Amino acid sequence: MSTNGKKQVPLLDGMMKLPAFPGDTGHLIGCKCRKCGELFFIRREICENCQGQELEEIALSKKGKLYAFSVMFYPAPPPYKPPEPFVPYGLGWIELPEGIVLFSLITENDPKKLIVGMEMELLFDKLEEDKDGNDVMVYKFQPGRSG
Amino acid sequence: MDDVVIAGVGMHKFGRFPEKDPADIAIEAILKALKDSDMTYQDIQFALCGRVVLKRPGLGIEILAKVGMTGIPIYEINAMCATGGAMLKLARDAITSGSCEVVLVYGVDKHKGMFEDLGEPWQNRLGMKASPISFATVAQKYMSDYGATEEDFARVAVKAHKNGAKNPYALFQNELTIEQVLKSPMVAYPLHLYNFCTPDDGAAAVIVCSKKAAKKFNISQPITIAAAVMQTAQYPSSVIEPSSTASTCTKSKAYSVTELAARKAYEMAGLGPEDVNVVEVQDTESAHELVHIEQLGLCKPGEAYKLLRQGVFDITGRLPVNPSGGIQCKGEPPGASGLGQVCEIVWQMRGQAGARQTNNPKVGMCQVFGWNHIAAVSILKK
Repeated sequence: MSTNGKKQVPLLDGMMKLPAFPGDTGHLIGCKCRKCGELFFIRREICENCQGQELEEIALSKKGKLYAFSVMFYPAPPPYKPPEPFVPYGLGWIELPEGIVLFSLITENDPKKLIVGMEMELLFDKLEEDKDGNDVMVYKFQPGRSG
Repeated sequence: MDDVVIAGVGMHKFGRFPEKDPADIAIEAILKALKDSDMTYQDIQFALCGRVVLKRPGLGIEILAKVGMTGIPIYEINAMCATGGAMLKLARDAITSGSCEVVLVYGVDKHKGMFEDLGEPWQNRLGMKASPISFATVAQKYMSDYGATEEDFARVAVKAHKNGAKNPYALFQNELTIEQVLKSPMVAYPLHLYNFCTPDDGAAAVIVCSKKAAKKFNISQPITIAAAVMQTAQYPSSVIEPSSTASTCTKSKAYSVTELAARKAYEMAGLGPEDVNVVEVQDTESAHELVHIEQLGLCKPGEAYKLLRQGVFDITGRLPVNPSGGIQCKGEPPGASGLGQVCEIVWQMRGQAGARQTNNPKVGMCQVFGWNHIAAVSILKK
């Protein structure tokens, strides 16, 4: 989906399928090893488990549960570019129903509002504009609105 | 197979020495270790140099050329924060292989600030893999799983500083209170500034030799390296262990690299966790001191913070942990920190630890953990 006529591009190739048309939600890209069945987040060539080299692309669930989290109260070193003024940011491991855990930025930065096991939902957010004026998009998880 | 022993150890104080060249720092530690073992550089047949942060190409070999040009093979090793333990394993292997009898291992580093490139480029652009975050996430999970609190982590720092205050090699030689730790700025929830180790400068050196060589050189208190193991990730990797890993499977049980290394080390030494009298563990921050004690099997999962409250890990306790003050007090020059642990355990076992001497330990253990699932565990015995 484009905003103001610009194109949206993923931060990393093979990481996510961005919404392509109105009503489309997009998803994170996973892959499944054809030999041993293990699942991974982000497209890859080699299976970490069995070293198989045939992995098929799959769509990962958009909902998961918070497995562990932290909130960073200082800016990470470069190439991270902190906002001005800096705002603490949340990060967490999200457990998906498929049986994998992946690391993600999370929208909530108050540790008191985060609980291990709470429902989390995927969203895409703009990181920056690239040199061609496209919106570079990243994935994040937010606490589930259904509670 | 002949036993492999530690003949001598030496350290340059860990701290901040902006005016000093890394060579001066390293050579002080090397000469102290040679003196401690009553050997000369001519006696060294093989050498290993550990450095992680210092970038100057060939530095490890350049430093030894200043100590003596004897033509021996010298290798530089980088296993992140596990470098010291990884080198001890290589030195032991070199001797058991029969290719040499006397090995010098030394580590040196000058380190400040956070690593800028620990994760993949896209992760670093998002600030996802700054090291405090990865360690703090494990700390948070520990609290959530077992009911530990920020106060328990503060108690680890208080215990560390009580020991570090007695260690002339430590960067911080001051005591702390629980209130001071909890009032220090929050860096990455749930960890405060005073929970973290500080990157700094330092060097440590260890001379390792065969038991036969130890007799020849009349080493008075040789300490046997009963086991030395280096371990990297075995799929499925432990889910949230600090690394660049983007995802992992949760269907089968994952073991931490420290757990895997410890299991092999106990088997190699023919000893169990119950035999260990003193231990130095990687305390990148307070929470991991507890996590690593548990991963070494020294107590049950979720029990370490309770034993800490009871004083079990104090210098005077049943199982003293990090009598040196750990890297929470010494600071961490990553190339040298693992060998710093070995120096401490050797001093403890020889009864040379001064004000921080523990009660006559017979078996000691060292554990280091490095970024991207690297652990090294060694067991030393009298």
